[in-house]
Amino acid sequence: MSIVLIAEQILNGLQLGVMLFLMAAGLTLIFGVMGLINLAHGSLYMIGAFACAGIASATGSFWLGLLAGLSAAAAAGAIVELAVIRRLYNRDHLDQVLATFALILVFSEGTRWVFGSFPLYLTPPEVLEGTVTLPGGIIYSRFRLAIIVAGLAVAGGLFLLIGKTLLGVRIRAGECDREMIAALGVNIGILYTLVFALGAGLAGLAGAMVGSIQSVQVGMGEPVLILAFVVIVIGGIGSVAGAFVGSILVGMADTLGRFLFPVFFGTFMDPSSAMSVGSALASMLIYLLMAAVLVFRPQGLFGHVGA
Amino acid sequence: MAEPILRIYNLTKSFGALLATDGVSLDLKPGEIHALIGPNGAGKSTLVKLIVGELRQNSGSIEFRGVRVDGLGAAERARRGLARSFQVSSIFPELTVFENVFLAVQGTRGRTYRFFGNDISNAEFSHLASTQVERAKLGARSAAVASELSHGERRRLEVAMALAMRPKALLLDEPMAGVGAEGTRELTNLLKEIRAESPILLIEHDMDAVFALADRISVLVNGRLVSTGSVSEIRNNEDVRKAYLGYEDD
Amino acid sequence: MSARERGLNIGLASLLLVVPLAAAYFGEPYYLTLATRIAILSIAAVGLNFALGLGGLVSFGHAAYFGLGGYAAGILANHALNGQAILAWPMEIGGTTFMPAIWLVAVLVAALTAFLIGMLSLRTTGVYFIMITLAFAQMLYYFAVSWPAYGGEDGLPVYVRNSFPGLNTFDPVQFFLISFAALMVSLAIFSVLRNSNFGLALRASRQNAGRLESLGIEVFRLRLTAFVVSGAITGLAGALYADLNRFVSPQMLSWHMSGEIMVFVILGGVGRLFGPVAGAALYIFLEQSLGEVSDYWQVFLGLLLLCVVLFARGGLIGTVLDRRNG
Repeated sequence: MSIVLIAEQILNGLQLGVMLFLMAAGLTLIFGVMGLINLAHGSLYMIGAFACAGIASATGSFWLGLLAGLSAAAAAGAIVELAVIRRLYNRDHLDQVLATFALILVFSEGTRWVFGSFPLYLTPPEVLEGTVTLPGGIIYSRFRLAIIVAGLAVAGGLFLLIGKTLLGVRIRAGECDREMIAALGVNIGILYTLVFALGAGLAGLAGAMVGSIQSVQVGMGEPVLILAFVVIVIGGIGSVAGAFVGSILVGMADTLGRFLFPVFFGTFMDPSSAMSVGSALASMLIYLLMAAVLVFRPQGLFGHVGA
Repeated sequence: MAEPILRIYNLTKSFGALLATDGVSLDLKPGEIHALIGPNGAGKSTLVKLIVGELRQNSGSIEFRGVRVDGLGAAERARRGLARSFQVSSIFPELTVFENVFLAVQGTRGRTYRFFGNDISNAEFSHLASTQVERAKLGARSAAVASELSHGERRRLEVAMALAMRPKALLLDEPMAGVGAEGTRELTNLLKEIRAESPILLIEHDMDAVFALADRISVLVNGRLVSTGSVSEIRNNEDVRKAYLGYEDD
Repeated sequence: MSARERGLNIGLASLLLVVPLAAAYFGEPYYLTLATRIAILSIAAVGLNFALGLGGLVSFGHAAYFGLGGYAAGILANHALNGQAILAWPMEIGGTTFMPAIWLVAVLVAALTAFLIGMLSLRTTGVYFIMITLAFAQMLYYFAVSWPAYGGEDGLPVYVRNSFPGLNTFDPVQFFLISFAALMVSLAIFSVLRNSNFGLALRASRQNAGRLESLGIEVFRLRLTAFVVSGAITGLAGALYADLNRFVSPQMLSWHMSGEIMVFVILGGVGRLFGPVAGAALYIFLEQSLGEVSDYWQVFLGLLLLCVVLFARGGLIGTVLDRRNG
């Protein structure tokens, strides 16, 4: 097992981590500001991927597709917020779960209706094809590296947005005290729609970017959604910093576990059973990580007691 | 003098930089009503929460019936006879008045893990519950769903639930809050009756009720106990007047 | 429970019993299978209704117990068939096709898993609890997918339907009656527990957990017990479902299954004794009738569910009772 191979896996873990962050950041903001649990967040990710694939194949431009993915998801988010979600803010979590579960059915089957059941494939743009050689002789996919860079850039932008802008001040105020920000004269309705659309856009962007690595298909959003939940439980709900740390942890643990566990079991087992035992255990690793966090810090790494 | 039922020694609790309870020591003797007064934010409710185990102290000790209880959970302390009522009525809104009180009986008797059948048909238990319902003048409302009660009725239900626990010490957190003159009179009479059964640590803003009921008064200001004494001692204490009663007169 | 609700419940139970038997008598056995499915899924939802309806525990991971019950049945039956021991050490444990034994194992496995998951997830409340129960169920799903010994992603066939003494379980009528009886038993357990001391405390814990502690009742232990009972009932449903389909797959453990079980409960009426039955029956009915109209029937189902959440709170049973009152 070479250092180069491990470095590649670390980069893959980082790539999964930044993707998860784009999902988890939106979810945690939406919960923090509006107190809403949104199961349909994975559908917005899927919408981003489908819009990107559709526009990219129609126009031949990946970049237009990427833009379409982001804007379609943000627009879908805004529409859903206005039509359905805002009626749920004052409801209990049970109603929110059921309503957003219903939204998943509508989005998933609706997408199948429009695009059919066959997966779509997206090709990355030419400039990002092939591989690059990183310092230390690590050969890595140019596109995946671009995803890492783009994801980190978006994360940085999001921290700036929340830390330095007026919108960010209002978001943070909304997380602390919903009545106070109404008293400050902020139009809550617009703020909520904006936050929801922002979260949706981030999910759509993630979907559009990942669409070039995996196939684009109905149901692609839910596995990512559940990973994002694990991220939020680990990081602490409502905390964007927690979402970032949680995402990188989960991305790394999952990727490295899948790579290293079979190798580890291979040292004392025959290869095929080492593979099956290793991969079965690796699939459980991040959940065990979550369980460990729950035992020692039930409010999450960055969460506040009583949140 | 008899041994205290409840003895708090040097109790301290901080929230971050804020010292909410600062080295408080006090006790509660059999048969007495010990009133705890102090301005808003003095840390009275925090002290109650520490005593019943809803919060954990940073240091100090709590002794109840001769045994340290400061390491025990709230439910265990309740089963040992430490009962409280809440400043803001805290009841089970969808259950009937009787069921609310009955839960207190069931809880303190450790009968919760009866899966088949219930103890409502148990004569002793239901008698215990209905006695307290009657005593709180809620007899006519026994079958009413608790969310339908008036504010005054809820206050009395609070007290009835605490009494149904057959407490060895009772912590009442502003039982008179918002019940009006008539309600205050009724509750004052009820508390006089109760004192023979269980000593009371009474937190109350209504000074007339405090002076009418209390055997001893402790004054809490900024988390510190500034004075403890009889009604007349506290009334005439210069520091207390300045620190607390002065504001009340304004 | 009002006399009116009791009447409605008896009506629902009779319908579920009589309609499929009549259909079978008139040569439409398809409805018998459908009714068996309704009965079994109702049991799964009765289990969730115990935690969710009485205790307010919004578990979005009940597919875990459903699927484990199913795998318990599938694994035991497969080992009975191929004669290999499941465990060789410390004692030899073989498979079985004896239904009562299978049910017992399914219930115990589900209960034990619910205990472990509950120990962790009940340390939290609210949204955390929803996400954590979902995540742990998903963990089991991925485990089932990636563990090749029992079929992995492809699932595990149950070649021969398991046996029940004195009955021919291959006869659809008799298997339906077994499932129906199991549903009635689980409803009876729900009802008895709801009216017990434990049930009173559990309902109280949903309304005001902090107050319950101050009355001497530990909420964590109460909730954990309820969660275990809830998982166990849903586990029983899983075992029956495996026998109905003669097939177990990771699909039984998926988040979509968890969502459906929850939909049954909410559609029928949270906390109502017969809510799960009404909800499962309506869901299956919609699935069948919408399915005939369009391949994409889930779009309409989703829209309908949205309307139920937004406008018809209290579920089917609540709505029917209100209508009659008004």
